[in-house]
Amino acid sequence: MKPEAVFAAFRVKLKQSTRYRGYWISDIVLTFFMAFLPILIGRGAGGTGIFAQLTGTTNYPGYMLLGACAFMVMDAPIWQMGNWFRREQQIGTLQSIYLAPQGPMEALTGIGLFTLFRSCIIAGIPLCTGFLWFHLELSGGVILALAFLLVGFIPVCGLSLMIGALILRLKETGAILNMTQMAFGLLMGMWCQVTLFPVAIRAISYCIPMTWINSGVRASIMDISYLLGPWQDFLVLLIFCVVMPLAGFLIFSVTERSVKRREGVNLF
Amino acid sequence: MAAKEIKVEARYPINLVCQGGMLFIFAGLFGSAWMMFGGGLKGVGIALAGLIISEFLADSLWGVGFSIAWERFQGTLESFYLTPVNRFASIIARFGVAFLWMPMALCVCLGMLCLMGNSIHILKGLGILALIFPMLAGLGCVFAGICLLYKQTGQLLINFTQFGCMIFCAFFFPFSALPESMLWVSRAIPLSYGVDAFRAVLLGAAPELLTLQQELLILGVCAIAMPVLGYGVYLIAERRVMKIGGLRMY
Repeated sequence: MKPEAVFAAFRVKLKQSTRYRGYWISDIVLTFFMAFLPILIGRGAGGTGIFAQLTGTTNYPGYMLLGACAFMVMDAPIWQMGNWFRREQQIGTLQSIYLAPQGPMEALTGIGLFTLFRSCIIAGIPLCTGFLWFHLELSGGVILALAFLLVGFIPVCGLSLMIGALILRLKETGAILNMTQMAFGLLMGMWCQVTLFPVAIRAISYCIPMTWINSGVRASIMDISYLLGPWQDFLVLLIFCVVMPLAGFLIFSVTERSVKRREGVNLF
Repeated sequence: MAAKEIKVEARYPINLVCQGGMLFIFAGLFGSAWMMFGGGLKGVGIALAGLIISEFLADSLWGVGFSIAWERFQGTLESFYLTPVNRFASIIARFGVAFLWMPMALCVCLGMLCLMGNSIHILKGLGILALIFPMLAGLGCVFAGICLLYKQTGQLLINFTQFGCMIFCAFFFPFSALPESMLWVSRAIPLSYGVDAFRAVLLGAAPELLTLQQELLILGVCAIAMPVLGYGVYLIAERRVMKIGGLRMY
């Protein structure tokens, strides 16, 4: 993998994104929106008693804002990397990328880097708002939360490769992508504590890295309980860091080979 | 046109299944948020009733409004303008997919409400939806015009409109949850009265914004005015775009 090719892919994405500046604003607004909906539900339900029992804090706006930020950061690679294949298929340039001396993996790594950079800005602004207005404490826990987010980005990129494989195989996948995104949001406990789920759903929820990232971010900033414990949760995330990229790469390679052998990558 | 839209949609069965799956996921998301605050089944009922209108709104904004941008993206918009079809009728025909999809969505949401033991008044609810539908069809045409004029920016505006409506029209929570300043914005949006009236008649609750008769009157007026407004906006946008020759420009 050539670093200059990766950097070139990063630059292309950055340039493209600066052409459509409204999308940056839209994503920042979307993060606030994702947090506002459950906050208003909380106001509508008219009490924090049960919420406090379940989570160990009464600061539900802060809790929801952190969930929304974690979701936006974790959702970005799935959308940007997964959807990249669809976009290239639609504009008819996917085959040309496969014919270039640097294959799609360099492009995907560049997009991954761009996504990380973009996520830091998009989630950073709502997070700062949370520290200013929603009584989130700017303490040492923030560093641990950042570690959870940054390390968590690696397994999520692996997961994005699996989604990319799905898109390469099925092509018209708009609704599948939308459903996957929201399903991950639900399973990671964006708006709730995963312990609220029935056992079967909870088991699925523990099998995705986002659950551990989300819980880790919330617990370290808000000083509430982790799923297992701070270092145990981080260890689980490190295991995901090894397993998910490998699994993603394997699934992607097998699918890519099969698509190339059958119909080729030029079909829309 | 409607048959063509349905045919295209039917060619992607996995997408259709996923759209159905989305309903359950949304129900799960909002249900779990209500459960976090001990809102119970009443809260989930409110969210499910809102989900129905939210699906209607998404269909009108994306299915009707954004479909014009999609035609342009595919490069078929100009050819579409060269065919001897009434353009407004063909824009409205894009609701064809909604006719296929909405009964499914309604059955899923109302079925979930029944299964949870809520006593619901389906026929009265459908009556309110019959007033909301032309209103949203008109809104879809307004956005079709906006997408024709502003190209990709239309997508952003649709996003903001959809998010804005979810918050200000209180799709998933009672209006009482909104702060007073935001409630004034809600009162200025006719769809809020639709949501309030629909929830009131479907779940047998008292309307929060106005009396039911007043809300029905507003809905009735908007059901007539919005399609006219949509037609007007679309015609203006169409004339402007044709004058600058921007139909084929992506």
